[in-house]
Amino acid sequence: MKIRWPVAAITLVVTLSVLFGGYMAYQWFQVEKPITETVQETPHVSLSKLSADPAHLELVLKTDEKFSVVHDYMPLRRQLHTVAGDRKLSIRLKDRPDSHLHKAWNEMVFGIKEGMALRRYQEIPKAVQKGTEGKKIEYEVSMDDSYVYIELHRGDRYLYRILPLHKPESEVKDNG
Amino acid sequence: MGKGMIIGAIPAVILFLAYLGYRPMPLVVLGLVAGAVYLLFQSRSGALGVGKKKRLQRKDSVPNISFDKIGGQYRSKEELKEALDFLIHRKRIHQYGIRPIKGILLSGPPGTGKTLMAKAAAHYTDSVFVTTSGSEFVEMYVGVGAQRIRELFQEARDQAKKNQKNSAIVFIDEIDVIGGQREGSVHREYDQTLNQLLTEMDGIASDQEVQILVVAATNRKDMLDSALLRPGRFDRHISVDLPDKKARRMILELQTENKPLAPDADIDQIADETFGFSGAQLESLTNEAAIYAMRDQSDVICQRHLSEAIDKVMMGEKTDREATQEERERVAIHELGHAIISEVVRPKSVSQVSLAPRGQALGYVRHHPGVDRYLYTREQIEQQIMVCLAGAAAEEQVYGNRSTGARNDYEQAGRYTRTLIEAGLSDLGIINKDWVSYETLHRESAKILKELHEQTAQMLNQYSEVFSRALDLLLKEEVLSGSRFRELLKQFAKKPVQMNR
Repeated sequence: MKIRWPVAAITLVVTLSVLFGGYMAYQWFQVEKPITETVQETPHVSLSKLSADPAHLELVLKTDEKFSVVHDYMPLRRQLHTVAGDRKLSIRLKDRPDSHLHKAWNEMVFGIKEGMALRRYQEIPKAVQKGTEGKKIEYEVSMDDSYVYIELHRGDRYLYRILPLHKPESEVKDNG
Repeated sequence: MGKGMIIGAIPAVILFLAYLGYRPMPLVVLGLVAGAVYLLFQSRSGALGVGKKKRLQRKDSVPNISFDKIGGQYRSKEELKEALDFLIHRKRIHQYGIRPIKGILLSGPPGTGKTLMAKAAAHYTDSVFVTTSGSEFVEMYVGVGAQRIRELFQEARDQAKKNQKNSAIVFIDEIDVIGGQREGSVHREYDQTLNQLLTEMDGIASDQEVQILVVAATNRKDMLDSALLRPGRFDRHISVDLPDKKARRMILELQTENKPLAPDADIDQIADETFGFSGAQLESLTNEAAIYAMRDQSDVICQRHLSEAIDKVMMGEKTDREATQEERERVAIHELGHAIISEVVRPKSVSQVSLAPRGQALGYVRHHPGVDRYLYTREQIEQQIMVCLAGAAAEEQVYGNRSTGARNDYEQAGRYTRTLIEAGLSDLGIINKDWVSYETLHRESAKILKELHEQTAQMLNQYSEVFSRALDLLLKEEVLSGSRFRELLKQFAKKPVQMNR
């Protein structure tokens, strides 16, 4: 049988547009829209960047000083996970630290790391408390199955640290 | 269309899967393997029946031949046309309550135009025409033949429905391959094929919508199974015989239509001299004549070319065998003997005496058969025998001995005596050859031959002068035409004398 090349070319274009168009629509309605809505519903946080491909979902969230990692971030993350499904979800929180907060963090990080490495988790709040003493820094520490959450507030400046318990190689988040 | 779409869709799907993060290689490899397996199966379609063979030939692919282009065979053509008319005028035959003809069997010697008639039939009706040949059903796998028959009829029906025709013609060439007699307890593969053909032609499940006419050709009708020959299967047996003189002339005229024929070329005479030629031989004759003309660098085909072509078709090409002078003389004497007796018993019957070796013969006399003849009297057969014996008799007369050159002549003479005895024309009267001993037959045959030999020798005696005169001429010229020979004969013939023995 003779192959009709124009037919083949048209089929190629049509198939590609149907498949990719369908996929894009799915992406928009089933992934991006729910994520945007979820983020909008959460107070003190806004979506700064969202990129999605079939395997990854990357979010950059912009927060204000009233945002609390311990109270707000944990439920948000859970919700986003349900939307993301099987995709690998990576969330970046944009904080606004200043030199005091950095300095305090640099001091307390030894104690925190030691506590995590030795699995003596009570050491962590102690180290944080010790690092913030007398520096007018408010802090909050929390942990769950996978992460240790630490937030430092000083005036309108704030610093968030989310340290994975089981993946020491990605302990420090790149905050850009 | 479908193939193009598949070819377009496959890369798109592969691209999409790759974007989704699936690796396409396993899929591609799987596809290639599946394709390879499919191709493998298709190439062995006979065995596995995956792909169907494209046996169906469109009508346009059958050479455009009409019944007018077939010389002679008037009766066969009429018979065939009538059967085909039944396909065309279905309403009228319904009115008369005629059951449509299921099959036509064309039988006859090779080269008489059976296939040609089928080709003409293809164009005569407005039916779907499907053609195949017996050998297409032969395969090394069991059951394929039967399957092919089913497919063939199915194809014919499908094609007819597709083209909105209500009749189809299936032409099976050389049907004797599959239609041979079923005999004995040995079950042969061909039997299945034949059984399938029988049921397709007149089985319980024959389709009423599409009427299928099976036209088959064979040159071994005697070998066909009787179930195939009964009415309802092959209703009409049309025998396509060797052409008679009129038909030969027509065939020759048709065949020379596109050839430059000289004004002196006498088609009528050629038709006269080609008794027993089939259509294919006549076609070959005109073709050879044209080749001879081209070899001679002559612009037109002359009578001489046609005449040489007859010799070539009958006896084969001239050979290079070099005979010694002595042998040549003996051959010349031998042939002259034949020619003289032939001329004496049937005047004007010699058409050519030739000393040029052709095929197996060292020399030959070509006879002019006169009118086409199908019945012979005793006298006529005896004359034939005398012509056969004349070669050896002439040698005997001139040299006093005979040679092995007469062996063929004796065989032929033997055949004639056998005909004579079996036909009840001999002195034995009407006999049943099974009840008569060979010895009796032999004795009678020998008696006839001896008598005739004596007669022949006696006749030749009158022409001894002709031998010496014609011999030189024949040796010199190699070929003597019939008229030249007759002149010599008239000139040198002695008056009849009675021999005393």
